[in-house]
Amino acid sequence: MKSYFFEIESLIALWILLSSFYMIQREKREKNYKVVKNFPEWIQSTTKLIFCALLFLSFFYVETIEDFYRYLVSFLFLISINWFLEERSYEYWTNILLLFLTVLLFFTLENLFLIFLLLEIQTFIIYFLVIKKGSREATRGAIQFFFQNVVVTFFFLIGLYFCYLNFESFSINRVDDLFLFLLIFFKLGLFPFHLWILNLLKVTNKLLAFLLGIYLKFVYFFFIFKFCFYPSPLFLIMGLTSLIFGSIGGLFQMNWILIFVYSMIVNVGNILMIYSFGSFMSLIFSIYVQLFYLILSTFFLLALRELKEEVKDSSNEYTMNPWSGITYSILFFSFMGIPPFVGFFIKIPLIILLFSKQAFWLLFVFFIANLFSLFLYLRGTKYLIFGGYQKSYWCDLKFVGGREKRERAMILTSINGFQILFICFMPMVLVCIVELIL
Amino acid sequence: MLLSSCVFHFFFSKGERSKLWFFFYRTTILLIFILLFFNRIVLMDEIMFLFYFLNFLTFSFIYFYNHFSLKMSKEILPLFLLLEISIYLCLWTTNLLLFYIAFEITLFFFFYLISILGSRSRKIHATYLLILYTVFGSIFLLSAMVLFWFIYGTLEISNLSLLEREPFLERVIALLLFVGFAVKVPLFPLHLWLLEAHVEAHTTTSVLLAAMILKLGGIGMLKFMVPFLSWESQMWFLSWIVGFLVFGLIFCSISLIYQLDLKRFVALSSIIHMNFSMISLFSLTEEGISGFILSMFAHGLTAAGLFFSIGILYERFGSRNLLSFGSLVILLPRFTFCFFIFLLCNASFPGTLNFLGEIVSFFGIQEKSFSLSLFLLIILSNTILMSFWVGVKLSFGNRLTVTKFSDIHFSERFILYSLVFFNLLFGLFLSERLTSFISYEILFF
Repeated sequence: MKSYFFEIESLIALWILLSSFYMIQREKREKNYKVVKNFPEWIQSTTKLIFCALLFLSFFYVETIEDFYRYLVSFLFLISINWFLEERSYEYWTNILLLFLTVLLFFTLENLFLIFLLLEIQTFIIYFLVIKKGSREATRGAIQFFFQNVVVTFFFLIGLYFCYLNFESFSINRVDDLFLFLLIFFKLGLFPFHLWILNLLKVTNKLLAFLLGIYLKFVYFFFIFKFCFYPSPLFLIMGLTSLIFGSIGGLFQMNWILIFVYSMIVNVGNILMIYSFGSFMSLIFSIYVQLFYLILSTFFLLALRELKEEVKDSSNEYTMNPWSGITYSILFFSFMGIPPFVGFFIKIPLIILLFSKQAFWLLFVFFIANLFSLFLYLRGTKYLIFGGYQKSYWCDLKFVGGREKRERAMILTSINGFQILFICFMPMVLVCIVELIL
Repeated sequence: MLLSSCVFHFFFSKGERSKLWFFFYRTTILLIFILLFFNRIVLMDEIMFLFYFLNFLTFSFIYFYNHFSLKMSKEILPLFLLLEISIYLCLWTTNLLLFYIAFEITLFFFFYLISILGSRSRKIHATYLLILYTVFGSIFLLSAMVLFWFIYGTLEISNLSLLEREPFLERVIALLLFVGFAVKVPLFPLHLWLLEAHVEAHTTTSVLLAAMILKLGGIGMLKFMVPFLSWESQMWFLSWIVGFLVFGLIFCSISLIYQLDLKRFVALSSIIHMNFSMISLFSLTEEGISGFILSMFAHGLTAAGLFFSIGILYERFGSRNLLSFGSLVILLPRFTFCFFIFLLCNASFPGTLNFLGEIVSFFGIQEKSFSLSLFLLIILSNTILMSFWVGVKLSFGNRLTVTKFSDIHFSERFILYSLVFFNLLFGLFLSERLTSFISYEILFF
């Protein structure tokens, strides 16, 4: 019974086939084989319905970490098509479904070569989705990404070759070859492999930002958990450098999406440092931090849907709508790591781990890096709140007219609601987890 | 109760109904206080009772002032209500993690209160300083908390007497806690944020800062640091911490002389009083700690009155500069009466609660060092002289060119008279009762 619920890959494949079949039929019906640009809304809503049902049913069968990750990515997929899907073309739709299929397959495979193939398919899908935008910057970004990926893949293949020489198999339980790590570091966008993600996210839409910045990260985190989960100084060094350079690099950014990328680099560095301890406690903490990272970054992207591109242009946000100005500044307070918001619970596990290992110098560096990133978010908050301080009065708490405004209000309320929800019970969860472990 | 009323008030009630609801829940809290006080059904420890009462009183006056003065209480009220809840949580809890979270969330509310209600562009600088200093202290507090948890496996301070303690780690934790709380007290040289925040904040925010937020640092030290120190650590700690505090006192006393901004003047005198209270606390004698609690309580009432008075002056004259006032006794006689009494309280005039607090503190300090108590007396005389000088300058100085200003109206009169009443009431009639029911032994659970 369980296997049926969890083998949703086949269902997804079936769904891709069906929607493609529908597309072909519709094209045939249209005379002269005219290209149909947009898919009907019922496909999207039916997919949502199927996913909701599957997620609801499979919730009761989450037993292992693999199941958990699979459940998580399915949930994220639902979020992505619900909140971030703006372009409703067939090519987009089929590619996103394919991406989801590769991600699901990733969790079942243990053969490194097949995993490599899946990663390449993902690369191709991303390349296609970016280049489809058609602008010169998008094309340049996509080609840069593709070539950098080719270089790193070359190293990965060398690593695979060495693995095969040693074990005479691609099905191994533990990866400790530097060549194999490079691809994962590249995909995670860690320093100094972060340039491609900066270029791509600058030119793409929010859906791709979500997929590259949040969704696919969980796949690579799972890869690390599955194949490289042991005490590793390499992870520590990579995590620490990402933390430091992400914090410093973010200071010079005046574009919201670039600030998002740098905060992503910092948070991924944070998670990698937690992974580097390789203990059971660090495993629990890393999952815990990943969940918070997911919440925080998704809210950041949702906020970016509303904000203008440049930080300086958002200076009227508080004057225009105090409620949204305050909501976004709550988000940045959260990123600063000020309790009791979610961001605080991202930082505290690493502090606990560093204390437990008596790594006080690392702790010092961590605090300094956090102070740097605090300046970054403080500047954002300054522009949001004080940009138009002459006219700031608490007069505009009502959302005036229209569906768009109501949706905006809903998003803002959900951002606030989640943050406040996590205020209430997260300290208790943290204490319970730690006490359970000890 | 508080949380539900806050939510109800903000989201569901409209117009008169919201006022009724608000009135209902404030009255309920007042009744609970009266019941607790007279029937001695003490669910909380008795020391904290004073601060619960101070918190209730301060927020009641702020709501009252907002209602008549700001004319936009419905929007600002949730911030104040949530702040009130977080302060109650700070006072109530004996868990370090919970205290830390409630302690830090005040930063968030203050950021908004200063940025929304502040009027000048320099408020940006003030909020920057507020955040940076608080986060700096927060790092130390967090480190202390994590270290504490690793060593003792608990964050509940009431279990502390059952634990075996190692002197070195004990001192490290105490030091981290001290720096963490020193930012909020604030102690020299971590006091700069307070001056800026006071100057840029609205009257109600200043009142709140002086009356309650500064107390949280002291309460943190009293709750989590003093019971934690063993005898050997106390000796080690006292040897340098008192010297540090005395240096801060001297520095702030000198700074006080050349202040022309009334808010800065009161803020600096607040820092001096808090530093003095800290010395009293770290004398670690029964009288010293009692004096510390009384001084804190008295300072809460006095500073609230002073900041309300300055706010009233600012509303009428549009200035806080000391040189632009004079002969207020002719223009605003009722106001001048109250303001002069607050300045007397600030100078610890006999008969006021401040006098009681300081005299008990002196008894505590002289038990440890007679020469130190004499030295402190000399330093504090500067504050006394300056308070008198400000009082005389404002009341009887050069006459202003403007001739007519309305004296304090009903709401202002109510607030100022009530604060004067409570200060004198506690100072004159309840002093004996208060000193008898505060006991040093309570601290050690």
